[in-house]
Amino acid sequence: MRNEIRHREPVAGWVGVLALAVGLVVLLMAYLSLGHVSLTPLDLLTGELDATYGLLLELRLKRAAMAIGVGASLAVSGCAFQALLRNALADPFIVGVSGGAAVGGTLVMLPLASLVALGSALQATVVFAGSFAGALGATVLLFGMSWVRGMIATNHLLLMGVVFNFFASAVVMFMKSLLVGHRLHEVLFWLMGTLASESVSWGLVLLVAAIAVWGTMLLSAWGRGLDALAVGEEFAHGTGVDPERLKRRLFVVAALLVAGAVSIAGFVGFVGLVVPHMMRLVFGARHRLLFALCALGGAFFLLASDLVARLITPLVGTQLPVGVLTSLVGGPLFIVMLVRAQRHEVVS
Amino acid sequence: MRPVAEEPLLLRCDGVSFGSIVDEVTLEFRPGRLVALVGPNGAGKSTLMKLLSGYLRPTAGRVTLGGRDVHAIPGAQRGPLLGYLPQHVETSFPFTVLELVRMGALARGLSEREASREAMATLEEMGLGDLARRPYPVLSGGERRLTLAAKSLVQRPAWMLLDEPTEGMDWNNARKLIHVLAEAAASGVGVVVVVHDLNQVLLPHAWMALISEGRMVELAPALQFDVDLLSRAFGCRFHLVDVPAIGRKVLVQR
Repeated sequence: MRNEIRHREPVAGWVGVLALAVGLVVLLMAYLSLGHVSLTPLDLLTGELDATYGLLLELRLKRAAMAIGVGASLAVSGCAFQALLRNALADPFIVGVSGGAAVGGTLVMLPLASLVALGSALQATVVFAGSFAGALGATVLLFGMSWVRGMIATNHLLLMGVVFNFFASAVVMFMKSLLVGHRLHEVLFWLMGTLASESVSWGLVLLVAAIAVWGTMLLSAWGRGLDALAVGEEFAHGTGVDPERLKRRLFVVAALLVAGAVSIAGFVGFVGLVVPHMMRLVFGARHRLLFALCALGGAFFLLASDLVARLITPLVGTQLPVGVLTSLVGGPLFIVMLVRAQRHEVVS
Repeated sequence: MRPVAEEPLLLRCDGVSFGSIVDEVTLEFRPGRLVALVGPNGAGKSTLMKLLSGYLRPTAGRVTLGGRDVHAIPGAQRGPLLGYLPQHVETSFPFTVLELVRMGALARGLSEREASREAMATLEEMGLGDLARRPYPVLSGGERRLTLAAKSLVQRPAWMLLDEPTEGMDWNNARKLIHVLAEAAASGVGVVVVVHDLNQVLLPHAWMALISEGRMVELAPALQFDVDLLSRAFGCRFHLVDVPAIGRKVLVQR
């Protein structure tokens, strides 16, 4: 029976990866077909569409790619931050990188108001660049501030990230007070987390997806070290792992993932918290396959949420930002998961 | 050509300080010996263990393993050379006992499959087979220390540094673990442990290193250790008493 135990766990992980990948493809077909104007899956497969439908399909495809890239980035970075901070409740927005992105993004929006046409591809690109730069700036700053005697003091990092986020939100609020009309509306939507911006170019979408793939592969390759790090820094050191080197790399990769996701889609909440938690619950804590599972799970969660957001638009009368929906669904879901886990713990 | 005799892999502290916690400790550990670091609370034992493992860098002096600065040995090389078990290992991640013990086997350079096999074999040898699938965070304190001991044993490093490995264990488990460590030492492994129950290490081949207020006081075979020095360091009166019924000496305090 013990033999079974030994070899079942990795198999379950691979089955999970496969199941999620298949699920994601099916969901993608549904996402592309359903909407205000429905296309049949047959249309999608045979490609016999007229010009209008072709355009519609391209827009949906771009938005789907965005959802997949952003969902994967957030879930993977959430999982990485949880290992770094050794806290299963950490999320990608906790350590201040996202605060930096918000400041950068809104900061460029101000002078942009008079220079670039609203809703143009150029505007989207400049906002992306500003927010990405803001995120990287915050990363460097937080890195420097938590550096103590050649080590990243993890508790400092967490605390300073939280404080920095408060500071960043004050700056953002101030800038919001300077913006008016459509500009303000746009900033608000971005901050709430949205995939509805049609002006985002394919280049940016592919860049974010590429960062997600790169990050997932890199982090998976460090899986063994991350397992030990998640148990403890000293424990990792005593188990043939260099915790400091790993923490530095982990922070940089996770920050890049957050920077990409936030810069393109704003603050889509709960994906980075709920998905890694759920994957750990089902597939265990080992990191070798966890990042792949998180990437697929995060992509699935956000794509499904965005599909719902799109489908209920006629019902609620407005385009619901997907970030609002993920938080509405993710919050209660997370509470249910926590309560169940707690009960399970008490019983066992 | 004559074969060069292999140098023993010495673990040395040369005038090692860490702030005011550890004060110019000079000490040499030899492989094949079990040395217990003993001393009152706050004496600097755990900090010295962190320095010996290379986790902390001394503020003055050097710690060397086979002549190399221990702090500079990269992780992959450190795994088979030096296994260190910190005093506190707490995690909220649901790693199972088997997964945690496997980490020790992987540090030795084994493949995933071999590591699982070795980890399970070690758990069963220690009578912990039933714990294998339980998540580490739900274990009792003693069970956690047993799991961590299994991880250290399966790692089979040339040097084992264990900070309070027997904490929270029942008497029988503690005795068995010290026995296993003494056997490892007899087979050539260098073992350094921090213990609070001095009687656990009053064994024929064990040594004691007494630390007090960050300073090294004395390194001597456990059974010949100067009881007055211990009494002074701990601030109480120790007596070494022969107990014929068990055929060994024990320390008691008045």
